[in-house]
Amino acid sequence: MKKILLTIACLLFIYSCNNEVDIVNPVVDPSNFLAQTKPLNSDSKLIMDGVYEVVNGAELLGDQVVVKWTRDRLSIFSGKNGGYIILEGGYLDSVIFFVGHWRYSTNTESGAASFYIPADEGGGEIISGDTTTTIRLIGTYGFGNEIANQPLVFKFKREFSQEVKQGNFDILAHRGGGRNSEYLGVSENSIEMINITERFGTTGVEIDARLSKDGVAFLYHDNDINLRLTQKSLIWGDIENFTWAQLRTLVTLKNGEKIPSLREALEFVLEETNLRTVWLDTKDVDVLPVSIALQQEILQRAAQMGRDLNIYIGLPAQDVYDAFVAYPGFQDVLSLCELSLDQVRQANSKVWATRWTQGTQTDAVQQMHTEGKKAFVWTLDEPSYIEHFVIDGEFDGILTNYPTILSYYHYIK
Amino acid sequence: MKLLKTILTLLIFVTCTSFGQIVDNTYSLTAEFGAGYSRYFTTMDYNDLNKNGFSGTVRVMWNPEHLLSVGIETGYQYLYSINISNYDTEFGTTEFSASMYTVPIFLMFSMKITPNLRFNAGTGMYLLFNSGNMFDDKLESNQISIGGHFGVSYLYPINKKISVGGELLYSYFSKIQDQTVALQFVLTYDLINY
Repeated sequence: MKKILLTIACLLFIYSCNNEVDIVNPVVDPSNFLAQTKPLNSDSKLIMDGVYEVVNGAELLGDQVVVKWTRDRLSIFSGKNGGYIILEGGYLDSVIFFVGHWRYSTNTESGAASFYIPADEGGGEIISGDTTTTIRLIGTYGFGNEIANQPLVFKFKREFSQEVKQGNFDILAHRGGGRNSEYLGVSENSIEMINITERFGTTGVEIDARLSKDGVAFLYHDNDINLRLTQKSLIWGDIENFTWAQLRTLVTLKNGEKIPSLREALEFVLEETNLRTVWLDTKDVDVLPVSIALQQEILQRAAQMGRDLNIYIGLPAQDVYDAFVAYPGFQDVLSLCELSLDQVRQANSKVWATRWTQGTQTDAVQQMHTEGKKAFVWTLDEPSYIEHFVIDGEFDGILTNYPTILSYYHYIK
Repeated sequence: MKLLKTILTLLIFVTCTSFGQIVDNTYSLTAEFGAGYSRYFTTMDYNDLNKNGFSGTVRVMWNPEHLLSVGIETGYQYLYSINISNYDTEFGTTEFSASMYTVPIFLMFSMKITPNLRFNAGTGMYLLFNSGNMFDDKLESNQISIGGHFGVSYLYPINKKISVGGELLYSYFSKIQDQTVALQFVLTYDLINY
């Protein structure tokens, strides 16, 4: 009897191990209907931004959602399971159409979603750029690859508050938008991730900089080549052992992308996105001079373009801090310090970034504000704490792996 | 992963139906040498990847009065090599070579199923050695992976001290999530009997 029980216990243990996660990417707009529509202009998009009541379909996203255009997508954020919808849209005659998908941030459920705004429910006014408060998004959603036939209706409730509209709060996405473990379909610290991160409400990104054996700065989190971040390759071991050409040629990120150089990433942020903050996490002391040189160049180009962009050199640990303050002219380098307030002052960092487990630290945050500095908090992923920090904290930005959840709580303020 | 689960399942059935009864009161320390052919199994898709190579093991096993023996193992296991003379990359064309081998440092267990047949299992760490060349820059790196292997061996005693036979050995490398199957000639020598 003991042997049978032992055998069953061992087998249960073995077969309970499963690292395969099945995320459905639903088929969206198979007939390519949106190709027949015309794109909305930026004024029309702004009219749609606001907090909406969920008139029908509250079981999916709760009783209210945030609707916000983010670059080229209409994003909808909710407070239920970190649920969000990302839609492409366009208009035909006086009706606006949207197709896309929904997903829960906190689990793997997803499905297709589609909406329209009838001409007499705000569609006409939005297209002509006239302000309206009678917007109604009428749509359906489905689960997985099922047909989207569950009703989902949102009704405009209010615009964002003045505090939200006039504030400069940063929704900062970890590792360019989220970790590989969020199964977003693109890899962390990739150009492809940075390209889609604004759809999650992100206004800034944290990215990780390392240095290759031949002195090229690139984006990568861990100190070795591993299967958490990359596909199987012919080279393994500490990432600093390889030249840039070797890494670029032989290593493929988890979802098929190439490792981006820091230059490529910063140029992409500058030229292709509306992101206004880059938190450049220094993973390797040796990358510091290269990061600073690139930061200066990109910031100069941003200024020439009239682009509101801040690139902060991250000082996460004592060794990086020591190297930074030994750098000639460090006082003039835009930096973000994760250490003590005194070290923030000594490094002349513009941002103090603190661990969320220390609490809202209102006194310290106010002190930083008094000294003309910003305060960020990292890395906050638990929805109830995100809500607490947004409501009760006075931080200028929050770093998270779930920017959709942070976006919801920020925009309903 | 499926293959690994199947092997673990078989292992559990074999070990749960075996008995560790006493056969005699003699203790011994045995040195075991294995050498043979190894085949590397991977999902990497390179046409020129050479997956066939040498496998060698050296074990020192302590054999008490029970059927289960315990010991340590090291050795050498070839994983792969590749040579591409004209490799087109975004940096230009280059000669490219890479190879990898591993050295296990294992705690081994061996269970006599019959007087000649043994089931072997071991776990510990693999030292992975990666080398090669690209753009006239040496590729050289090494790292540690946990892993394990399971095998079945048949040993035929030639005299009181020496036995010879063969072993089929499956190895799994967790860091790279790949595996090898090796077929080895085995020679064992009783170092001490007491």
